[in-house]
Amino acid sequence: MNQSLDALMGSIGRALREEILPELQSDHARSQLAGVLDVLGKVQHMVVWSPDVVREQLDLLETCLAQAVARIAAAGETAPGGLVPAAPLPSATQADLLRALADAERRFARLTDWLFAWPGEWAELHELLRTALRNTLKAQRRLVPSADFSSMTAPSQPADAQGVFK
Amino acid sequence: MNPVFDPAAPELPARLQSWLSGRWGRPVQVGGLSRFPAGMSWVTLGFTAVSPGEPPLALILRVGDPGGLFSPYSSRPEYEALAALASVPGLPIPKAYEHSDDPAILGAPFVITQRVAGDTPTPWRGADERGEAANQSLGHDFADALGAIHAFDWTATPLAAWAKEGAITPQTTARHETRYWARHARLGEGPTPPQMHYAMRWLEANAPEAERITIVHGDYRVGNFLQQDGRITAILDWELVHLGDPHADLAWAGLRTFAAGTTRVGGLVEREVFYRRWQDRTGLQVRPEVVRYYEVQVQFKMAAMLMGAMIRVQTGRSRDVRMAAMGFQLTSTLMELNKLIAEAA
Repeated sequence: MNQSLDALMGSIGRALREEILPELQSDHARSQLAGVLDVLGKVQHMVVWSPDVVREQLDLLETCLAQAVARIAAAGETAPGGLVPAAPLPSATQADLLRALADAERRFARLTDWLFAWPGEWAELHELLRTALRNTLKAQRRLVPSADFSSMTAPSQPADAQGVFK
Repeated sequence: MNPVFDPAAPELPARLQSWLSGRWGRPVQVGGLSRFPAGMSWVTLGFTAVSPGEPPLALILRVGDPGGLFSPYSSRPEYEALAALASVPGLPIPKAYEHSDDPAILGAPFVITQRVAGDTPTPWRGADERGEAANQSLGHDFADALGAIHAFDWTATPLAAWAKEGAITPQTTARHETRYWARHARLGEGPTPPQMHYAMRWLEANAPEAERITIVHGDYRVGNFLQQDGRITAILDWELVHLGDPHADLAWAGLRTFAAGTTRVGGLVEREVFYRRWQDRTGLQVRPEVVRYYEVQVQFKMAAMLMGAMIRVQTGRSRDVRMAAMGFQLTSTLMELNKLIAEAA
């Protein structure tokens, strides 16, 4: 589940416009914020996420699905149909890649459902799935620095604070 | 247009004053209404209520913002839990005064409680700065209060209706919670991280039976209590309170996320000490395999909360940019979920 860049920029703009701007007392700060909002509004429609991570996640899921189908067949069992696409989906654009990833995720969910409905414990296959999931998350994680929720929830005067995080 | 509660609305004090005067049958003057910066769910404001011939009351108004993290809200669970638990000797909770879900009063559901002195330690740092003595005494209070909550017999209180409404039984509670958070994250309805789908199936397949159904605070951790001089003065943030398996609170309180980089529960005390005090209070035994199950479930819940925040941002239902920041935590939360399942499997 990748964040929508457009929605993120919209959220930043809304917070600045509706939560921050009315609270500002300084004319200078208000003019600076107006400038930020203007630039943000323009940039919002000019930027896209890097496609590399999406492509890496897609490859990891497709590899796992293909390996799972092979192992199920090797065990003399029948995998649910349609786990591996008949033909590769186009991946020329960011939108194509995201569609292909969503499709791979749906097939992965079908395999997950099948595995948990399996009568018995197929530990090796579970491990294969969990490893693929872990590696897709690692690929995504490389891009995301930690958030500083302490700064976001702490009052400037600490007395009588009432809860953090949510 | 999304409904929005405006805590800075100029008419808010007058509306609150008018309603309180009617409820209490005497003139009430509301003053000093000011918002606390913390919180991404209920909006928290402090105020004083003064009536002729009465000492002034320092109160907290918590309002369930329609744009908040868990909206739509009801004030009933928090109020009823606090009112029921008021009879527990020594349990540090604020006194519950009033509540209503009627949006005609303030624009959103709200609860009014006593304002308790103290400050809120953050769950992400501070364990070293507090000093060992304070960590120990806070940790003991933290375990004892949880034990007191879980030992409370709710069956003869209004909370008994919750069990009937939710069909909560020892056999159903684990799956009930999993379904609740799956719905919150809208799993299967829109983009669903494969790790969340896998975790949901794992939780359904491995659900344990509860030994006892208790009040579950639902967000019991460092950061949701007030402390003063190394003692807990009030357990706060009861919005997720429900009936269920007490191991859910043990697992949530002990999450690595809230341990300030230590191996201790909440960065305060060793797990063995925390469990021993809890067992002494409840008469229950900690079941390690059930704790491991609930560690997975509460991590799933954490991820569901983050997904809920992302959905609110992406559908334009939140003005709070911190929810966008929460969305960026989803990946690391899912990685921890993956790890916990591997440990429990």
